[in-house]
Amino acid sequence: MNAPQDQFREYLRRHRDKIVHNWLDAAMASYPEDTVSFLKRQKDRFANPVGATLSRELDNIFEELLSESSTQQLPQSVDAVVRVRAVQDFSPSQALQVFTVLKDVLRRQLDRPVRENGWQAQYREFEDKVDQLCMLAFDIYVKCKEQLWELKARQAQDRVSYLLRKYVGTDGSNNPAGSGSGAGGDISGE
Amino acid sequence: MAQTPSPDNLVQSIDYTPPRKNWLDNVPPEFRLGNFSYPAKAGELESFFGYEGAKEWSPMDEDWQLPENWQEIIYEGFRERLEKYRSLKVFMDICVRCGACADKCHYFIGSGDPKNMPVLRAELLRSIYRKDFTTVGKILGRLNGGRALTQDVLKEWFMYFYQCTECRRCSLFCPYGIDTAEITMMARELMNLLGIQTNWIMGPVTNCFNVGNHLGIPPHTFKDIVDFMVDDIEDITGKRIEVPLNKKGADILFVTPSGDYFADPGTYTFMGYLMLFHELGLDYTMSTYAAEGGNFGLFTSQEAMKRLNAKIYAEAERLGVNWILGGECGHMWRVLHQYMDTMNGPADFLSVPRNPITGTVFHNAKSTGMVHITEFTADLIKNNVLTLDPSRNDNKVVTYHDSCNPSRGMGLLEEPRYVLNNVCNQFFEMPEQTIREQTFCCGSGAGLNNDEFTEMRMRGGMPRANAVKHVHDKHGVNMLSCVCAIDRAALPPLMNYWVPGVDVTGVHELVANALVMRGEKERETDLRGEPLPGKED
Repeated sequence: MNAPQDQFREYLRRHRDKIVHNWLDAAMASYPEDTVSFLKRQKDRFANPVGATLSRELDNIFEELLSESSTQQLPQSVDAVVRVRAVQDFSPSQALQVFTVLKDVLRRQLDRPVRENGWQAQYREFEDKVDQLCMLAFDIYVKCKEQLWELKARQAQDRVSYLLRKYVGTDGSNNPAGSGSGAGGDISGE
Repeated sequence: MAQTPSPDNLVQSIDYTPPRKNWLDNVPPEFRLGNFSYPAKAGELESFFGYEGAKEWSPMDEDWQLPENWQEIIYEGFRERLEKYRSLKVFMDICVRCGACADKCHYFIGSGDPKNMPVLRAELLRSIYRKDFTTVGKILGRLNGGRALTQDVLKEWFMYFYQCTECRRCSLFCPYGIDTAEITMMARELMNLLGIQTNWIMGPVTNCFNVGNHLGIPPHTFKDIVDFMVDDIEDITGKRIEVPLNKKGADILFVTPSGDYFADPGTYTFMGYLMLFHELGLDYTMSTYAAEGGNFGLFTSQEAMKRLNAKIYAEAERLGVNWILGGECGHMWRVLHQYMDTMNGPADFLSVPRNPITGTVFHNAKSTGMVHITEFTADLIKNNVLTLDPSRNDNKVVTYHDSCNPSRGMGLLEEPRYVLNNVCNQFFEMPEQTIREQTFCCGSGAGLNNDEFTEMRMRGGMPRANAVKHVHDKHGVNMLSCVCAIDRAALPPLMNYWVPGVDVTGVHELVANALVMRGEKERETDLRGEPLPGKED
């Protein structure tokens, strides 16, 4: 039995809403003030996809951290957040700060209960999970950027794809990024 | 002795909130590779506008090497336009900064940058107007929201007026009806006076003017491309079709954006037009001179727009056609619908457009003489002229992106939907606050669809993609249809990034897939060469 572990997790679960709320606040604070009020106020997820994504996915991610082993939901949720941050006006470290701030939020919330209940080991273990989360986010961030570079590199060719196919003979089949170039050389009549 | 702060103290002292500053205290925006469109080539500015002293420059330069009297040039240009366009003066004066538009811009929503709020973007120009063109502003200056025209202000203009796609979604929500797109147009015109212009706009403008289309494809190559398409169509349908070019005395001149004949997936839409016209036995022609429906002049200056647009009427008159049919394009229709008539009309040599097959007279197009292809096709379907087999599109679960200019700019909302519902069996709408008049822009309009701006476009297109993702997840939508060549170029990478598994098509590609042509062979594939449903083996 791992009583302190259970107690610690039970504490996190009890304070889950507050922690997620504070995490969301800290994450949104990376945007200018006028923007933050919009991100928080506008509840329509189609009118405010950034705010909606952050509030939905940070909640999902925290749930994943609370469970003993994470599911496929974790990379999906991290991807959803990072995909947005990767195209906004942030440096790489600023973009991923959205995850590192969770440690700050946890520290503020847990400082006293950890000391009072002797949960240092459990707390460190949970922080390790947050570190892993940050590493996962870093991998996904790089993947998003690579995808953007790939899209950028392909665009010049995609823009004249028909001419290339007819005059140069490339058929776009070696185009991993071009969702819009489904046609192969088989309709070329050549 | 100073105490070393503990790690906890350090962490807790970090304030993630960006410093609050009055936006009037403008900080020059930070230009870095990836967040701006490359400037126009000096030679093109010289050759097209006769602009003297054009220089090669970069927005990343601290000194933009502006002419000595640049402020005077802007003031004069501004004064001239305020006198010429009553609307500009009204738009400058009337805004009460209610904020109704603030959160409606896709670039604001996607970027979170407050200067992309339409009200604030317009204030970049309005602040100069207030200080120098209003009596109160001259006296009160900053108290009245005015500020001096400095190079930093100009840098802000370049940064933010080239993040506006002129989609006019914000205008829809403005209680005063301020057309923010026209504010952007004016700001760009003013910058244009100083040779501040982008390459991706200026290149097509000069190509279009000198040769006939954005890429500068000469007439014989245009003919080559059409011949290639005729071959492709024969492979798929077994039918060899004729495509008339520069045919004098034809009933109809057909004009479409050039993107449709050199880039997938627009090429399939172009093939769709050709197949439809052949099946109808339509007496039409295309022109190698007016071989471009798009008009990048709209993104530079009224003068440029007028010069490019003039080619359509000139060619219609030379060829002696009765009326003009226009293909699937976005901003082309803003120009045709809202400016062409007063800019280059009246087209008194044209007749009121009449569909020769159904007899329908398009009274709505009486003044310009131009009909949108989806109006034309919807009329054909309504009159049961076409034999359609929508099951050929059964492997496509379709939604429709209202391209900004046809929807908000000319009210084309029902016709494309009517056509789509007749040529495919699985059609699902995106949420209502993201379609029709409220449609979210693809993020690439107004000359922003250049390679270097890709990342920025992923922000601007995010609200659109978000709505597509919703119907993709809910209904399995795998095909995003649209009636705009810029959309067809911009949406595939946008989908690739945000909603993998969704492809992009023009409406007339789907029409041609479903179109049963007289004497055709049994089709095995769709226009892309992919097996039709049930023919996968």
